[in-house]
Amino acid sequence: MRPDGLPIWTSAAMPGHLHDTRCARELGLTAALNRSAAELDLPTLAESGYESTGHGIKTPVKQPADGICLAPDNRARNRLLCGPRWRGERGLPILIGRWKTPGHTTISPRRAGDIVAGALHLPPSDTNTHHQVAEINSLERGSVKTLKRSPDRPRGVVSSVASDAHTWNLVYLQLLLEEHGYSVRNLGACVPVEDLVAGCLMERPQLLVLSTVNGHGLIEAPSYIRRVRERAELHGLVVVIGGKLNVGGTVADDDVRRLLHLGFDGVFTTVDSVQEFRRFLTHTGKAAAGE
Amino acid sequence: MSGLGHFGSRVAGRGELVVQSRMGFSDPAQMLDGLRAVRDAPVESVGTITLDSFTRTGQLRRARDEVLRGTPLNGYPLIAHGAAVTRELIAEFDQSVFPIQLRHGSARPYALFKEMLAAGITATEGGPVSYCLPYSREPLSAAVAEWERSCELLAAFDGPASPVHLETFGGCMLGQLCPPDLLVALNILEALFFVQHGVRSISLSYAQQTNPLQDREGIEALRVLAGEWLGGVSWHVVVYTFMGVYPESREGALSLLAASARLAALTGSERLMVKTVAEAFRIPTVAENVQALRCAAAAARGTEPGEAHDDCGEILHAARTLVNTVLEQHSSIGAALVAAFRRGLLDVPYCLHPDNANQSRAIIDSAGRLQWASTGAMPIAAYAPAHEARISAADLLSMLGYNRARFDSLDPGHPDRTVGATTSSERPTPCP
Repeated sequence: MRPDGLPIWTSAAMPGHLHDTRCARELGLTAALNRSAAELDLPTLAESGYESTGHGIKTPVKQPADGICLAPDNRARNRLLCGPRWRGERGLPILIGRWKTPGHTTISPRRAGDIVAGALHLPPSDTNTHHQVAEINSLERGSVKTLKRSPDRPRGVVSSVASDAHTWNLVYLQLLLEEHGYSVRNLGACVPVEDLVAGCLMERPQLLVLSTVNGHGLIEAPSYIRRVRERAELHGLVVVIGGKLNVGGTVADDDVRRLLHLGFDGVFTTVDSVQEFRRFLTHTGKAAAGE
Repeated sequence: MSGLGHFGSRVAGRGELVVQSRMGFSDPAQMLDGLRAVRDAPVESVGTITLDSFTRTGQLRRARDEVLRGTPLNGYPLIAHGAAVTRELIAEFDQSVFPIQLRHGSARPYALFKEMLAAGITATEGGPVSYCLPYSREPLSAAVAEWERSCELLAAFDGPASPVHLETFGGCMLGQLCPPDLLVALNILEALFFVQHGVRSISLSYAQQTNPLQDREGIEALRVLAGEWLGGVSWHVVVYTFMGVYPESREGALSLLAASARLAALTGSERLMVKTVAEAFRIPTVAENVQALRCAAAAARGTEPGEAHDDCGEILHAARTLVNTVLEQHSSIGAALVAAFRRGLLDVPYCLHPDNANQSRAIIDSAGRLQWASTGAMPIAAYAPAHEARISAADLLSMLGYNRARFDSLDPGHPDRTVGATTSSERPTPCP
């Protein structure tokens, strides 16, 4: 949770019998938080359940069991610690209270982490569209579908970037992927990075195709690939980008190399892109089908 | 009302076709050069400031950061530069002779319109459907609500160069592969929406498609319906040069442009939005824009308005059915549009927006006319040839590239020379 109450990260679901502090230790959280306190001067405020997890994790002094009042210094300390924590607490309703599904989930507890992860990636502001609300509430169904889906049909996600409104490229790519045996989810135009990550977490595709033709691709693509690559759940996802990535018309080799370096598996920007991409699809389609 | 500064009447009052480009640069100095070049070109023209797509999609901080960093954007970041800079930029243009239109592409335009009015610009464009379904993720109902208050803001403006002029973009849905009857219906519905919210100066749009005869019928149907519905409002028609996959060859690009100019002149349209020879590759330069304006004006000068023939019957009938069906949904046109899209009574083919049914499909028939392969739940008939509904990626690509193939084949040096035939009326006009 950030100091302003926005959640940053959620873990995969952990078994219910483990205590909170043990989970935090096993996930490497306590080590990371203590380190950030020591090196970045960024301590963590936590509830009293996390007592004795390290110098960087500040917890309130517990009320003595014998009914004696805490010393004024300790009371002052508790107030100071608990005061700012309300902001952090706000993050929990953002993850759980906003959506119907996390409150009434009936899927395997092991997969509950995915739903929370999906909620994390939808922005918690008033800009939420009803589509996003519908999406997160249907996450549960989506996950079940994912589990039931036949494993031999590879899944693809087709998407644009946030500032690009063109869609003919996306309509074409969807048909092309379908003809190469993919089942496709088309995220459409102007996709914010949060929606893209949430869409991928829901769909768990083998292939993500970003296509943008408005000339802002080189500016926007880096944050997209970073956010996709930092999700462990999407490890191994093949991500390609193509279209008109700058306003000049020709993309320099250095820019292509930079995109590949950031984690794209393919960059298609030349006049022969369509042929190249079809060859790429034939290749990766076979790989995805395990041939 | 000063009258003189009024965009609509300035356009309609000139005898000749007014030609306009879509220019937008992030650097104010370059923007100024562009506007000057258009003003000084020997054609009847109006100025354009097109916004960049960060501003268009509300990513204002990003627009500001990139401006500070000096990255060239794909348009003019109005809010990052602010009304004061913009006002100064356009100060040297006498808008009673050379009015300027703001082109934005936003489904949430309220803040843009406020800034625009503060900067002294009183002509713009868009629409609750035409700038939502093709270009944004905003729910249609949210776009309708925002456009309602935005139209009221424009209608309430009472300054120099009022009333504010608003052009509906409904005739350009997705740029291509949308049959004319739906384009005409959306135009009329958006115009009625504007009128219901107080706007009194309107233009209707029509984007050139794949068959000149069909386009002519489409524009004639648009004029008939506008005459029936838009009494008491000043309106004119703006034709858009083909907005889809553009020819790559110079000759092909210029002849497609000339064909659209002739279409505009023939149908008595008042204004034309041009495209340039660079369209297939990148954002055009100032010089390319000016050249396009000159070519279009030259082509239009050689064409006399034709007699309106009665043969726009089919398009007119289908468009009228669509308009009437939608208006029956609700007395508020905004609510009627939302209901119509929800029920699939309006359905834009190939449009991916979640509020569009996307059940309808359009194809290009052997004569190059756009036809409905499937109309979904819309109250109009499909063309229904012995044609299976499934459209492959290759089919789609060839339909999208129909005009490119047809017009590039005009260029003797182009490899597609043999593809498609062109009538002599589509021969390119020599350019000044």
